[in-house]
Amino acid sequence: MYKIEHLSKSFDKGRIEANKDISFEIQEGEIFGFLGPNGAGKTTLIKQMIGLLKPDKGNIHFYDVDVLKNPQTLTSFVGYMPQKIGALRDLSVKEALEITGKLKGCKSGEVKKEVASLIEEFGLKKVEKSLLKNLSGGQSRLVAFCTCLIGNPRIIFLDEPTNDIDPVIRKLIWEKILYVNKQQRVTVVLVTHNVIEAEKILEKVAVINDAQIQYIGTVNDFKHMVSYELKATIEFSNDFENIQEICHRTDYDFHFIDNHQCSVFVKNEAELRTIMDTILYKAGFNAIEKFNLSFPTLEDAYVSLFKKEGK
Amino acid sequence: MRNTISNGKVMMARKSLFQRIQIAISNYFHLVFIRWANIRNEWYFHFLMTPLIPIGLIVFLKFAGAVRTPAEALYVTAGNTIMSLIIGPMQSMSNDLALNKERRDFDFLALLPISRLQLILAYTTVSTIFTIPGMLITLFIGKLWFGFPMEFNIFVPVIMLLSALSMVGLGVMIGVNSKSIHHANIVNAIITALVTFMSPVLVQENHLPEFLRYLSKLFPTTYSAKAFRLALNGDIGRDMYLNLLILLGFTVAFLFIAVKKIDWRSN
Repeated sequence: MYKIEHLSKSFDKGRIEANKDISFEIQEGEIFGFLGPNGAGKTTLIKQMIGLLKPDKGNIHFYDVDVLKNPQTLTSFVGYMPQKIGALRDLSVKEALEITGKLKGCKSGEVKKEVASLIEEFGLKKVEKSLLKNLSGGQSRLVAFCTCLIGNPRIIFLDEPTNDIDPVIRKLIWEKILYVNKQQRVTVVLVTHNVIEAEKILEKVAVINDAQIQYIGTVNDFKHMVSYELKATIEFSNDFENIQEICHRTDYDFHFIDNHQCSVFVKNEAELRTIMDTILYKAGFNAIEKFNLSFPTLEDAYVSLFKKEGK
Repeated sequence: MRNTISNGKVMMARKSLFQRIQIAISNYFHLVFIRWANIRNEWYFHFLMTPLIPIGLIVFLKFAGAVRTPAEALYVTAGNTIMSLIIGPMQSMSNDLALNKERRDFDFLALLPISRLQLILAYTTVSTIFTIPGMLITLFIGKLWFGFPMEFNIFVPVIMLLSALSMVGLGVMIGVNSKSIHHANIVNAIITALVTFMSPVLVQENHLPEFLRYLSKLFPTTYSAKAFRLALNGDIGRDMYLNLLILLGFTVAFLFIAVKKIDWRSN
């Protein structure tokens, strides 16, 4: 669906490199996520993909369309959720959604139905007559998300879709993203820092750092890259003051959340047994209060990747 | 009628000329509504403000004794009107686009199937709607006070509309290329000063230094003011048509550059 080849983009006369020789593909129906630290070049990359920024080098194809030559072609197929929709700030929520649908070429009747359904679904009824400029940050982002869905796009680009949004609506947004992807075959491209929530829906990820792609592949493969198979979360009893010292004396990398809680990644059962034996031997059987074993999450993989890089 | 994707290829729906015109008109009205919404709560303020400066200038010139004959009064009043009609929409356009750029509004607008021309025309319509009535008031106040002959014919509104559009393209170039709204304001002020004092809009052509008489040929205000005065005088003939044609040329050229040649994408 999307093919990006050797894309490079710099700002400030080449002094700031935002994207450096980036190549990848997005297949139809995928839920594709860009992860990476702030300023890594994620937003710059998606803005080039949808024709809002002109790359210095490289090619972007949406099916057989050269996006650099014909960015206008994308308007029929792409929904984009910007950080804010200032252009409509003086319209009410209902007006903004309806006018977006009409400008996207939908029939008036269809738009009214779609808008009414989105307003209902996301609990916007109370603010439907409020001007966008008077909404809270979270409500504005929710309206931006709704404008992105209007007009049956084939692919949606979501830039931090759940920032500033309360947990109930956040859940609704993730469910809606999953719904449009599974039921309407809408391809989803998202930039997010909310790795824990995104993990539930992401299929493929690209980790961007220092303007380059550090990893690209499925979420599962990415998690295996961590080179750990199990994550042990241990809660120690309050009586043991020197527990951190005992743990750090082992050859394993313990991450302490506070004085008594930590997690450690292990490759296999044998390693886990070694760790447990050491702790129990040195601190005694009463040292461990709680113990939990889980598979590494996307967040673990992400943190581990950046730790390796020394970031 | 919607564009589709089939077998990995983007299929653009074929639309008849009538359908394309229909869509363009519909988009234009939606965009007018968006722009109108920006001022819908204080529209009367814009309506009252526009004639304030031209009327104030006429009053000042009258009391200063700079206007002695009805012909001079017509010259100054018509020139004033044209200045407001040309500069107002140009400034409004550049400020709007500079603000749009600063707020990253283009991120949203650029992904809608609308054309730049539709956006420019919609923005200009709103600023012109508030300028034309004020200018008509200025003309009638001038006529009542100075008693100059004035004929209202079809060419008067045509020239007013064309004048409003004549430098809008330049407004787009300023707005899109400026770093901020303050930057756009500074460039606007420079251009306003240039066209006010370097073209025969307020000062008669034979009172301008010789080099400015040549330089003034580069500004649409020169042709707009000439055509407007001729139309108001009822002097419809070859001279007026020629000025009107040159004004049209400026309008089309600036709009063409603004729509086709300027890269609106920010860096």
